[in-house]
Formats: sequence, C-alpha cells, structure tokens
Amino acid sequence: MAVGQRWFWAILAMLATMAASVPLWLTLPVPQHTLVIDQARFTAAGSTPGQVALPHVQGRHRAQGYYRMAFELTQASTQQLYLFIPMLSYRAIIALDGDVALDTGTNSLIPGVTLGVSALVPLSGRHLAAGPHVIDILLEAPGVTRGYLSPLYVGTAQQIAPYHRLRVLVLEHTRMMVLACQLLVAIATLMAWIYRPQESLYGWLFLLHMVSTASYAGLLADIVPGVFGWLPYAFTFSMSSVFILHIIALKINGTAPPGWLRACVVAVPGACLLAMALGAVSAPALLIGVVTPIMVVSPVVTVAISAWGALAKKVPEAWLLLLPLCCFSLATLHDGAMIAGKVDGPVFLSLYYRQLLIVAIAVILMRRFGLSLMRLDGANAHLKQRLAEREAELHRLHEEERSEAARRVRSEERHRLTVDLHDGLSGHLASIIALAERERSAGIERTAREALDDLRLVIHSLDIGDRELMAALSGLRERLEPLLKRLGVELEWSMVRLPEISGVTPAHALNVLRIVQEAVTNALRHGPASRIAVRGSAGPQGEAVIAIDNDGVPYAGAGKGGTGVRNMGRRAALLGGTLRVEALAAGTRVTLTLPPRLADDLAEAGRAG
Amino acid sequence: MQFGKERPGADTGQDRDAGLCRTLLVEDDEPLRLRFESILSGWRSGRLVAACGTLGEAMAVLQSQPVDLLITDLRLPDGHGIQGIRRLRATNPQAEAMVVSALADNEVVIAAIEAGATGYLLKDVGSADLIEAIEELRAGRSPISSSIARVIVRRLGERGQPAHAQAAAPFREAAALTPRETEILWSIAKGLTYAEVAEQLGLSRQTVPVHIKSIYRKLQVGNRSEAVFEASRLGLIWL
Repeated sequence: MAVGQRWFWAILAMLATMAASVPLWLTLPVPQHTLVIDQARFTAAGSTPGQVALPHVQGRHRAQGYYRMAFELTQASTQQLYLFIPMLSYRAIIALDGDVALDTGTNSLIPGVTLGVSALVPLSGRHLAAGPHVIDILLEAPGVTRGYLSPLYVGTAQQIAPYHRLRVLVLEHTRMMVLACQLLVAIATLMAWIYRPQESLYGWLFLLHMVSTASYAGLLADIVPGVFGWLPYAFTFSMSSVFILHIIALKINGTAPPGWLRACVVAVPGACLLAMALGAVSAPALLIGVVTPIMVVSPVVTVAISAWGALAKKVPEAWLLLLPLCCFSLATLHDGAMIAGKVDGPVFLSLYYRQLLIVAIAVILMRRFGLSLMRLDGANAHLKQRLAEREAELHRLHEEERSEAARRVRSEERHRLTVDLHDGLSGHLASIIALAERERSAGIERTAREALDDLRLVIHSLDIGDRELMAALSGLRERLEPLLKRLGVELEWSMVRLPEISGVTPAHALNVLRIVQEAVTNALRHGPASRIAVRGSAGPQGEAVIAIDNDGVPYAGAGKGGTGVRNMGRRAALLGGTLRVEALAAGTRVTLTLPPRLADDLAEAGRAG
Repeated sequence: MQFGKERPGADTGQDRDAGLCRTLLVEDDEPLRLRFESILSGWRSGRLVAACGTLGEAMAVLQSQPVDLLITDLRLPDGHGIQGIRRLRATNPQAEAMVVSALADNEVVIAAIEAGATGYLLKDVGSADLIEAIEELRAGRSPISSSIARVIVRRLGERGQPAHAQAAAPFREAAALTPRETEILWSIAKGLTYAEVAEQLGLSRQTVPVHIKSIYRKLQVGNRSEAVFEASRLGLIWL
C-alpha cells in the first residue's frame, strides 16, 4: 500500500514535471501548405541594409529595424488572403505595397514586459492581384530584449486561422488568465488572512500576489498614456516578490524567516527606487544590472530552501512547492539568458510559470483547508461520540436514579405499612389469640390465627422481587410447617426443581401464595388429609408447575365447597396460568401452572381482584 | 402492678435449680405475657426469673440477677427490647437472647440479630414450638427464614458499594463469613429447606442451624461500632 502510494506520487510528479516544462521545449505549430516568406532585407538604424533569414533577432536592445520582404501571387486569388506573422517582438508597423495595414502597438494587447505577439493582416483589393507584392515592417525592440521577427505566412483563412487563434490564446489570453488567477488568489488569501490573522502565511501570500501584479502596469497604457515611463519603477517594486517567495518557502518549511529577510522585502526595492528617483543610476542600467539579476537568481535560492524543507525536514508541503519552483527557476534563468542575449526567444517564460506557482500555492492552501476540515470533522466526531456517551451515561444514571427513587418510595411505603401493621393489627391479633386460648374460644383463636397468617402472607409478599417466587413459597412453607405439625399432618415440600419465572411482583407472589395456601387449607378442611406434598417442577415450555397433593378424600367436582376452588382458578387466570383439580386414587391433586414470564398488566388486574 | 414481680419461689432452691436455664421474659401485652409465662412455667429445663412489662423492670432484673436467656418483645412502653439485649450481652456474653415479634418481619429480626439476638419467636407460637425453639437455641442452633437470609445476603452483597455504606456499615464490619456459611445463606435465601440445603452441601440436617447461629454471632454489631449503631441504626429503624 505504502509502496503503491509512493509510485503513484512519483508518476504524478513526473507527469506534472512534463506538463509544467512544456513551455520550455514546445514550439507552437506553424501553418502548412501556405506561402512562406523566410527571407528579408533588413536595415538597422544607421547601418547598411543586408539580406537576413527569418526568424531574425536584432543585435541590440531598444533598436528599430526595417524589414522588406516580397512575395508573388501567380494569379489573382478569389479567396480572401491573410498575411500571418506568428511571432514578433515587440512592436511592428506593417505596410503592404506601401499601405500601412497594421500597427501592433495599437491593435494588440501588450501587457507590460510580456513580449511576443502574433499579427494577422488581411489582404484586400489590389494586394490580392496577381503579381509581385512588397511587405514593409518597421520593428521596434523593447528596452530589455532584442527585436524578433518570425517567418511570414500568406494563406487563406482556413489555412491560417487555427494557428492564429492558438497564438492569441497562448500569447494573449493565457497571460490575462495568469493575471486573473493572481487577483483571485490575492483576494482569497486576503480573506483567509482577515479571518485568520494569526497565520501570517496568508498575509505573505496576499502580498506576493499584490506585489507581482505591478508588472502588469503596462496594461494601463490606454488609460494612463505616460505609464511606460513608470514601468521600470513598477518592475523594481515587484522585485520584492522574490523575497516574499523566500519567506513563504521558509514558512511552509515550518521555519521562522529571519528578520533581515523581512527587511529585504522593503529595503532592496526601496533602495533601488530611491536611487532611480534621485537619478543616481539610470533606470535601464538599474533594471539590467540589479533588478534583473536578483529576479533571475532568487528563484534558485527559493528552490534550495524548498528542497531543504522537502528533503531534510521532510515537510510534505515543501514538495508541492519544490516542483513548480524548479520550473519557475528554469524559466527565470531562461528569461535572464534572453535578456543577456544568450538565448534567442521573443517570449518571457517566467510569466507562464507564475501561473504554475499560483496553482501550487492554491493546492497548498486547499490542502491545508482540507486537512483542517478533516481534523475538525475528526474532533467533531470525537466530541459527538463523547457527547453521546455522556448522554447515554446521564440517561442511564437518570433511569437508575428514577428506579432507585421508585424503589425507595416502595420500600418506605412497605416499611411504613409493616410498622403500622406490626405496631397495631398484628399485636392485637396475637393478643386476641392469647386471650382466646385462655378463654378456650377455639373458633375465635382459629380465626385470629388465620387473620394473622394472612397478614404475614401479605407482609411477606411485599418483599418479593422478580425471580423470587421460590423464596416467596418458602416463606409460606415456614409458616405452614408449625401449623401442620401442630395438626399432626405431615408436610413434604420440594421446590428444588421449580424453574425461576420472571416478571414476579409482590401482587403476583401474593396470588400464588394464596392459591397454595387455599389448596393446603382445603386439604385440611375437606380432605381431611394426614399427608400433604407440595412439589415444584418445570413444564415442557419452561412453565412453573406447582402440585399440591393430599391423601384425603378424592375430589368429587365443585360441590358446595366450590367457592375456594373457583377463587383459586380466578387467581390462576389473573396470573396467566391455569389451575387444575383432579382426584387421585387416594386423595386430591391441585396443579397450578404458571407461564415462564408473568405479564405486568395481569399484576394490575390481580391487585384489583 | 404485678409486672416484673419475681415469681414466688424463684429465689428458693438455688442449688436445685443450678442446671436450669434462668429465663427473663419481657412483654408489655398482658394476655401474651401471661400466655408465655404459662408456657414457660411448664418448661422443665428452665426457670422463669421474672416476667416484666417494661424495659425498666427488665433492666432492674438484669442488674440484680444472672440471666441465661432473655425473651423480649421489641417495642416496649418505656424503651426498646434491643436495649435489654445489649445490656444482657454486656453483662453475660454467654447468655442467649430471643426476640418475640408478631410478624417476625425482616427488619425487626435483622435489627435484633445486630443487637445480639440469636433467635426469634412469633407471638402466636404454639407451646411445644416455643419450648422446642428454646431448646434448639440452647443446643447451639438458630432458625432462619428464607426472607431473612435474603436480606442478609443482599446486605453482604452491598459491601463493596460506598453509596450504601450507611445501611451496610454494621454488616461490613462483621467478621467475614466462611464459604460454607455463605453457601448455606445463599441456598436458604433461594428458598431451599434445611433438608435440601444439607443434602446439597453434604451436611447433616442438624448442622445447618449451627452454622446459622455462627452467622448471627458474626453479624452482631461489635462494641467498636456501638456509637455508630446507636446513632444511625436504632434511629433509622422504626421498630
């Protein structure tokens, strides 16, 4: 995975390098199958005329030269013909057969120092006639480079137009796109800086883009006629961008830029401007001697800074900056060589690579935004998760608190009830039993004992929780044991095999206990039994089955003693269970079957009943 | 008032009564006191020292005479039976105490056990059952109902929880039960009979109540926490 990713990035970097270096090696195509004019008679100012081959580069800066070329049309053309000059620098006045047809200085967009334009001149009227024709071109060279004229082409619109459009796109539109992008990123970084002033990188990026727009001052030529005189100042001013680029590269490396570098941003261009303004040095000399070398060499220094960040400090973002910087640096070196006359070319390439730098910076900014958002999302998700956990915890605590409070209320209520019964009723009943015993009132004594037993049943059942039916039953057993023992009735009790059923409430327990007690009472009353067996077992579906056997008279249907049986049946129905009374060979069996889970609403019904 | 009046002949024949269990009865309800008196007078292994109707009388008897067995109601007109149990246990650690209760509900019994009682009786207990219960206790065996076992098990389970520290404090300070005692307690709490417990654990049926008495003794609140007991327990539980 990691290896695959590395390959991916390596291939991407290679493709990007190829794409980025296109302007360095690509030559734009020229029209085919047209009339080509590649010979001219060249006359430089103050020198003798001579024959030159096109493309031709003039020998000096800031020079004017005349070119005269001839071509012949074998027959008058029926189609519109065009004269196409793919590349010229810097300004040309073109005349056909002595008529001035085009002045590129007025017709073409010349954004500042960005040199190299193409020209298209339609041939009309007599120029289309068969026979020889003459083209005169007055070529004006700019201050910093030499004049340049490419071969000329004469052809139909079909033959010429695509090539012309391509030149316009590359030489004019692309340059404006660079400016537009630059302004866009300037605004974007300004906004980022305004909202995040603590990140000075945004401020420096904004400054970089603002300062470098100064080199487009030439665009204002139509509005401010004297702007060309100010261009050296504008270029000198925009020089500070190279120092800003150093600072940005350092910041991307995560290194604080030194104070002297910050000072250079203002000090170096400032000193040059001052020298220029005071007339200490001539503007062209300063441009050629100081500004241009700094502008050409500086990107190499920036490349070194980024390479250091990428290779030594392992900063990923430095890689993103390093590649465009390399290209940009190559371009500035190319431009420097062009100015120095070492390379024959009409076009400054650094302008195109500024675009690439802008793209790299936009990529870095977007990457940072993306990473910040990712971190934010991560933090958000983390916080949300924490919040959810907290809420769940709170909810759980709340539920616990509520059930605890409810339990406490129930417990207090039970406690109060027990205390009241204990203090009052039960004591009195015990007292009545003692009195009746002394008075030998067997009926009163028995009734009082039954009342006390029932009271104990109620009190006891109050304490029963879920899955405690067996414990509830054993409470009954503990009360039945001495009673039956007194009566001389043997009690066999086994609840080991009784499954614990759920949903048991005090009301459920009381109903079960009353059923069992009733069964035992019936056995004693109607039986008359000498042996009672109460056994718990599990039904096929996990039901709790409680069987009460006695060895008395076999059950003979619901006769006059049917009220008790009916009561037991009603209680069993309330519990969602069934009750069966059947005769044994010698005795009666009462079987109570309860579902594995007792229903809540039945408890309500049971309490109401 | 004849409450607390010493029985005639109680101080005669000391030598003859030497082996008998000197019993003190405290019950404020007259019919019940008379009932218990008549039952106990038929008990051949014991001798009723006095039958008192108030705590004051009982305290006076405990002060003046040796008592081997105290059978007391808890709610008395001038105090609480637990105070009598504590006095008895202080003066004679070997003496036994039984609580008489109409309902023998959990809280009453547990409070009495903490005070030092090792047995309890229902107020309507039959005469034979009463004598049998006393004999059992004298033989080192205590009764326990499943619901009381359940309460004890629950409270022991609350040991590690500080939120219930107040309620469980006395239990927490009780000496740790042996694994066997814990097993017995759990089984009874589940609702098994002594016989079933004995069968499950491979004991004789008679051994189970012996363990119960040992458990009761361990649950008795020691002197160390007497203050805590008086302040919180007695005040918190309405008996």
